[in-house]
Formats: sequence, C-alpha cells, structure tokens
Amino acid sequence: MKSATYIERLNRPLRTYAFLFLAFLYVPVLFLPLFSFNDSLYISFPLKAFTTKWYAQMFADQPMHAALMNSLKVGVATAVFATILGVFGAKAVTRYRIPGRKPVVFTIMLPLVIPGIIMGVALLMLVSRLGIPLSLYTVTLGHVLISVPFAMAILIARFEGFDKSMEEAAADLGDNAWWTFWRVTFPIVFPGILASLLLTFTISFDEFIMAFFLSGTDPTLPIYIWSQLRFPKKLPGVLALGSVILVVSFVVVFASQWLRGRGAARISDESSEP
Amino acid sequence: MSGNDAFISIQALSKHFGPVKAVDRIDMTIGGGEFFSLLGASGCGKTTLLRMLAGFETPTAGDIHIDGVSMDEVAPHHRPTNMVFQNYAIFPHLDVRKNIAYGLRVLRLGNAEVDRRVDEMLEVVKLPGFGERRSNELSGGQRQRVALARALIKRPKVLLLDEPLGALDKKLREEMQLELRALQQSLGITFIFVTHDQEEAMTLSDRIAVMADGKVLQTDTPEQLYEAPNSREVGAFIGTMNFLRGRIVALELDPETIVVEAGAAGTFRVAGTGRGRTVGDPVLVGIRPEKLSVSVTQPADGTNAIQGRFAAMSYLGDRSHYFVEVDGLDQRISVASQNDLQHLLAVGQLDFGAEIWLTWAPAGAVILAD
Amino acid sequence: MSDTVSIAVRPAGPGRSWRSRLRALYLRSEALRGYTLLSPTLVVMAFAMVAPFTILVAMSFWTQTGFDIDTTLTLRNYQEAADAPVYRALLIRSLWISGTCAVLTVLFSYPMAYYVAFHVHRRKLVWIILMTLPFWTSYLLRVFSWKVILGYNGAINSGLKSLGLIEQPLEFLLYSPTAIVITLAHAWAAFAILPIYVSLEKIDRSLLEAAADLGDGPVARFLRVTLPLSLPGVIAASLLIFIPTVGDYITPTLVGGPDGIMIANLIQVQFGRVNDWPMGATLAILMMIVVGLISVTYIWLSRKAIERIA
Repeated sequence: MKSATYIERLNRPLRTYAFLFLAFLYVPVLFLPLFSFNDSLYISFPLKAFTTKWYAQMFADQPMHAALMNSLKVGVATAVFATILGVFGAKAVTRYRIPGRKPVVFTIMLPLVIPGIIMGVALLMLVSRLGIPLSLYTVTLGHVLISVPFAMAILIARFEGFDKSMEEAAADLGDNAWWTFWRVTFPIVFPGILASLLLTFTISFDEFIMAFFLSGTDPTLPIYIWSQLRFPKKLPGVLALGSVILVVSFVVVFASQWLRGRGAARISDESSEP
Repeated sequence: MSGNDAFISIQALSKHFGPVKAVDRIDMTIGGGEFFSLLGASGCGKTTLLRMLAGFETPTAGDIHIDGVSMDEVAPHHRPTNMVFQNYAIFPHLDVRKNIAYGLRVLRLGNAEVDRRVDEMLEVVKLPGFGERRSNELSGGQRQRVALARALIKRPKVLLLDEPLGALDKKLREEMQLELRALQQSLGITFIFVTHDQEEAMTLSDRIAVMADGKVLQTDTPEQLYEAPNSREVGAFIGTMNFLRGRIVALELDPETIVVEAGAAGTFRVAGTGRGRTVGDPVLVGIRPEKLSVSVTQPADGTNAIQGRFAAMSYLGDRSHYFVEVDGLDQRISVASQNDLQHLLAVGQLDFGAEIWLTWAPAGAVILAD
Repeated sequence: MSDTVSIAVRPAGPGRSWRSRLRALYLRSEALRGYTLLSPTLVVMAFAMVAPFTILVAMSFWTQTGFDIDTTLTLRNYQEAADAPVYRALLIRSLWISGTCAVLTVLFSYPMAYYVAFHVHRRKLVWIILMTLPFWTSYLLRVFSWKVILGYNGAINSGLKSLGLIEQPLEFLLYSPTAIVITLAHAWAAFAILPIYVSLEKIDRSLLEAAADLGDGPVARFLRVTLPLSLPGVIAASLLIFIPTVGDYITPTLVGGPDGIMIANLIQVQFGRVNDWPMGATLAILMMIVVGLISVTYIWLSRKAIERIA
C-alpha cells in the first residue's frame, strides 16, 4: 500500500464528516429492520417486546408469494435482455469508429435523465394505443428500457479497460468474429457481464414507477408493497418484507460492484509492468 | 520461401480518417524474405500502413497483394500475416502456453502436436519453463518474446511488427535487435517492422522506407539512405546533416562535378552530381558532420573550405560534436570527429570563439531535392 | 510449407455478383460493421424512446371526452394548463423543491466525495461501494423509511416524547416541503457523490503539489485548483438530481402532505382517478420543456463561468 503524500495526508475533521455522512445514508434504512422485530402494530418508540411474528405473517402471505414470483420473472428477463443489448452496444461503440457515436450513446443513455413518470406514462400510452394489454411483459419492456443505460455504462467501462489489440491479436491468429468473441472478449469481459446481470436484476426488482404504470393485474413486489401501505394493520408485515428485500439487495449490489471494481483493478494490473 | 522481388505489392494505397490522409497513395514492393522497416515520426502513417497489411484497417483506395493474392476482401483471420503488437496484447486470461498455442486452433492439430510446437517455440524465443506463467508475471522483454512466439507458431508468410521494442529499456532493446535479426535470417520469413527509431531501423533492416505525412519519401538500403538521401527531410531524419543553399556556377563534366556558389559558405565543388544540371540551377547541398574536418590553419586554395568560429562542443565519450558559427548562415554547422580537437583544446591552441576552417572532399557532399 | 488456412480468392472486377459487392462494402466500411453490431440495441432503444414520445406529443393535442379520446388536434389542453393557476403554482413549487434539493445534496456530498478521492488510500473500492450502495436498493423502501422516521408518531417524535423532551409531536417534520427535501437528498446522494468523486479523482496530484510549491495554502489550493477542476462533476451532479426529482411523485405522496404536492402528483392522477390522459400528456410535456430549458440555460451559464475561470 502506498503511503500518503503531503496532499493526501490524513484529515481528521473530514474523516469525521465522512463517517457522519455514511450514518446519514444508512441509519434511516436501519429503522425498517428495527421496527420489524417490534411487537407492536404501531411504528413508534418506545420499543415493545422482540418478535418474529411479522416475518412469519409475511412468509404465510400468499399474494406476497405471487408478487415475489412476478418480480423474479421480470427481474431475470430484464437482466438477460438488458445485458445482451448492453454487450452489443458497448462492443460497437468502443470497438468501431462509427460516425455519430456521441448522439447514439446519448440516445441510449437518455432514460437515465428522463423523469421516471414521463417514461412510464409515455410507454403506457404507447401500449394502450397499440392495443397491447398491460402485463408482466409490458413491465419487462419498461424495465429493459431503463436498465440498458446502466448495463451499457458498466460494459463500456469494461470494454475500454482492455485493449482492442487483444481482439485484433485473436483475429490475426486466425479466429473469426465468433471465435474471437468466445475465446477472448467474453472471458475478459465476463466480470462486467456478471456485474451487469446482478445490477440490472436489482434495478428491475426494486423498480416502482414503471411498474406502477405498466403492470396489469399481476403486481410486482414493489407494487404489492405500495398497495399494502394503505392498511395500517399490514405495516409491520411490510417492514419485515422490506427488511428482507433490503438485505438481499445490499448483498447482490455489493457483489456486483465488487466484481466490477476488482475486475477493473485486475485488468489495470495486467496491462502495467510488474 | 518464395524469393521473388515483389512478394508483397502495394498499389496506390490510401487511408483517410475524415479529412486526414493517414496514408496517401503509396506504392511499394517488398521482396520475399526481406527485413523491411517503415520508419517515420509518430503520425506519419507507418502504423496505419502496417494495420492495413494485417487487415485491421480497410483501405480507402488501392490494393495490397501478398504472394500474388489480392487482400482486398480477405479478413484478418484469413491473411497469411501475423502481427506482434505494440503493447504485445498478451491475453490476460491465458497462460504463456495457451497464448502461444492460441492460433493453432484453426489447424485442428492433436494435443501432442500442439505441445510439441509450443515447446519448440518456447525454445526458439528462449523461454523454456515459462509456459505456466500469466502475462502479469512476465517482464516486458518476456512478454515481447511470448508475442513473437505466438505470431511465429503460425508460420506466417509475413510477420508484422509494430514498434515491438519501444517499451523496452535501451540495453534490452539492443539485445533484442540482434536476436530479431538472427531469427529473421534463420526463418527466412518476410519481416515488416515499424519504428520511429532510425538507429534501430538501420541496425535491423535490409531496406527502409522513410515516411512522412502519409507518403514514402525514400525507400533504400540503410547505407544508401545515409550516404545518398534524396531530400532534405530524409537527410535530416536519418542522422544529422548540414545544409547549404546555393547556385551552380560551373559544370566540370569530367568527372561530373559541379561548382556551387553558396553565399556566405563560399564556393566549392560537389563531385558526381553534374548529370542533367545546368549552370544557374539553385541547389541544396547536404554534408554529414563526419565528412567535415577541422583545421586551425587556412587550407590550400582549391580545397572545399568554410571559415567559421568555434562555438560549442558536446562530448559523447567515443566521439565529440563541435558546432561552428559561420557569418551569414542562420544555422551552426555541426562537425563530428573522434576527439581530435580535445587535444588542441587541452593545450590551449584552440579556444571558443577561435577562427577555424572546415574542409571536405568533393565526394563528401550530396545534392538534395528541396 | 505454409500452414496458414487457404485464402478464399474472389474474382475482382465487373463479374462480381451483388452479394459479393455487398460483402466488399461491408468489409470496407467500418461504420457499417459498427452499426450492424449496434443495431439491436439502437433499434430497441430508439423504438422504446421515439414511439412512446411521439404518442405522448400526439396525445397532448387530443382531448378526453368521457371514456373516449377525441383525436382532433387542438391546443385546448395547453390553453387550460396556461389558464389554471394551480398548474403553474405546482410546477414552480416542484422546481423550487428540486432546485433546493439539488443544491443541498451537492453541497453536502462534495466533502464526502473529496474525502474518498483524496484521503482514502486503503480499501477505496469498499468506500465507493458503501457510498453508492443505498442508491441501488428499493427507492420505495428508502422513502418509506423516512415516513417511519419523520411520521406524526414516527421514530423522532415518539422517541423524543418517550424521553420526555416534547409534549406534542413536532408537526413540521412530516408532510412538508422540508420533509421532501430531506428524503430526496438522502435518496439521490449517490447521484451527487459519483460524478463529483470521478472529477476529483481525475485531478493530477502534481497540480496540487505545484500549487503548494508556488505558495498556496490548503484553502487557496482548493479554491484555485481543486474546485475549478471539479466543476464539471458538480454541474453533472446537480443536473442528475434536479431533472429526475422534479418528476418524483412517490416522495410527495408518502411524506409531502397537502403542502408538498408536486407537479408529478398532478400528472399521475390524470392517469388514475381523473382519467384525462391528454391533459396528463400535456402536463408531462410542459414539465419536460421547462426542465429542459432550465437545464440548458444552467449548462450554458456554467460553461461561461468555467471559461472565465480558465
């Protein structure tokens, strides 16, 4: 590990601030698990007895199971489609000199900066004008649309992280495009693909706004949670469910980001002199 | 091995990147078994030309034939060329053996045969025992050898090398130069070598093409390029050259010698260059620093000589460079010699600012295109 | 003696079939090959962007008649939106809330990004993941957790009451624009931290050493070198928060109360209870236009500012 230079030496007040900032990010979220173990219908202090009955209640909830299955289906489909589209797009924009690269990338990245409600209502109008009934398919369409920019961003970074000459070397040694992809590109980009799958799955799994406008009679998990918020009696169950979702999301996202970061670090190690 | 003179033939080849003409209507022939270098400053189009040979860039116009076959529609993976990349492009996810064996997939050889060939190549590039290493466990020189082995195992008709020694330090570079040259001679494969280092090109090559702005300035053997550059750019790029601008005042047809009047540099003779010239033509004369000798006394009449002042010196160990100022010339004249002035300086017979004379033989200068 | 694969030789010249010509064109044009590879992504994205937005624009010129949509083109919705003061008031409030939120989030995130960029040497990756992790988890649940905290009988009020510090719940905490700003700042912090962090990380450390060498103390160094060089990140961060938050309706619904209704709530009810899709489309387009104009002006102004510094 390199030692700190004069410019990068320890700054205690700043470090304190950084820890406070992390607390601001994480403490609010921790109230969900805290109250989910509280033996009271009301979410307020002082805490009553410890209980796991809200979890038992949640796991017994049949509509919740259905919603969970819906979310899993949509999430897996979204992850696969968005990542495939991301691989095509990322390879094309990093490996070819194409005229109009900037506007093309801008178009693909646009969903990042358009308010979700606008994307949601615009797609709702489209599918209803086309006479397509709202279903999990329409939700998946919406989720793919907002996930592709993230998949592209991860994969572009990964493609830029390894030298184009690797693929040229494979072609030079006799591999056609197909073999070059499977023997060189894919193994090197693989951590990025995995990170993209995990991240786009999480985005879809947690997404609410698009699903709000585009789902039919089958709710996804966030839509189901939203519908439960109206009933005070159901709140503790929502807290339990929310806690589980948060924990799972945290683990999945941490894994995906770790893969992404480690992958990037490994590539840069390899391209520098030992 | 086909020994024909036009093993590779390049016709009116151009590559434009938008408004930039990276390669501009180049014609070139390269013989079988030749060690051929493309030499030029960065951005001169040498790498683009090499990449067009490999098939990674598609020409805007023109054609390339290798061994009589047009490469126009041949994809990189079907070309009889293999490349050593500038950064070596060693696959990070494979070990050395798998890297070297990479190109054998298309040949569908048995495992034993693959192993045998890989071992053979490891011997050739002097890396036996390194087969299980990964690219991040290799030094720069070792990576270079792996890249070489990986390209050569395909037994290509042409090996393309894109500044392969650029990343190595000076000592290792010189060692690798000798090895490369020996390897090329023993294999008899055509090598096309891209470099910006003129000494490297001179050491290695049978012939060198000097490039600038997408065009070839001169293609010749190292000796010819040095002794008889055809233009000011080539003269200045290969080694150092002093330039004198003048006008022909007389022709002596036997032997074909011209007399040049060059203003402040006086009047002098240039041998062997009289053919096709007429009195009154403007000429540019180039003289290499080592063709000049220094004299502290005025030379005899009729010798080529310029009078100037001793201005500066740089000591290089095995030789020294002296710089002489001449009134009326905007550039100092540079002289190389094997330290014979050191002695004069030491005993006080010569000092900075002293008047000295530079002399050279009529055959020591060349006439250049401007 | 050559082991290289045989080369498919094609006759050149006028005898070539159109397929071989097409193939030659494809091989010659890198752009064509690039676009071929890009086409699945581009077609899907372009279709999923262009088609809905065309309908959105068309819809805004139509009108709702009972349960049917009258497709005669008219500007009636825009007229109505311009005439009714409630739309303008809500739009201005939304812009104000999002603007405040963007400024505050950037201000509070900057030191955090600065710390990680300049003062974290070990396990930097872990810090970066920790800073951005909450962003990837359920937006709905994060907003909901603020309702749990700020609520009338929420964690803060009930906590303070049980400690005997207050008699009556603090009402300003929930159902107010302040609650929205706090919640949004929490939800979007990662969008501020990342661009700022990236722009700080990119700064060559020798520039700061040069500034120190030339006599600048820490504050002067920050103001004269670090801050100007990180401005692109700051600008990106503020826009990345401002633009999406204007269109948020979950946060105002959960923690905003009657004083915290934003323009997106109004858009949402056009598609729900009110069932006037054309009006919803009109409001969505007006919101996009206003946000777009503000963003473009902001980018233009900040470019000018950066040019002046440089």
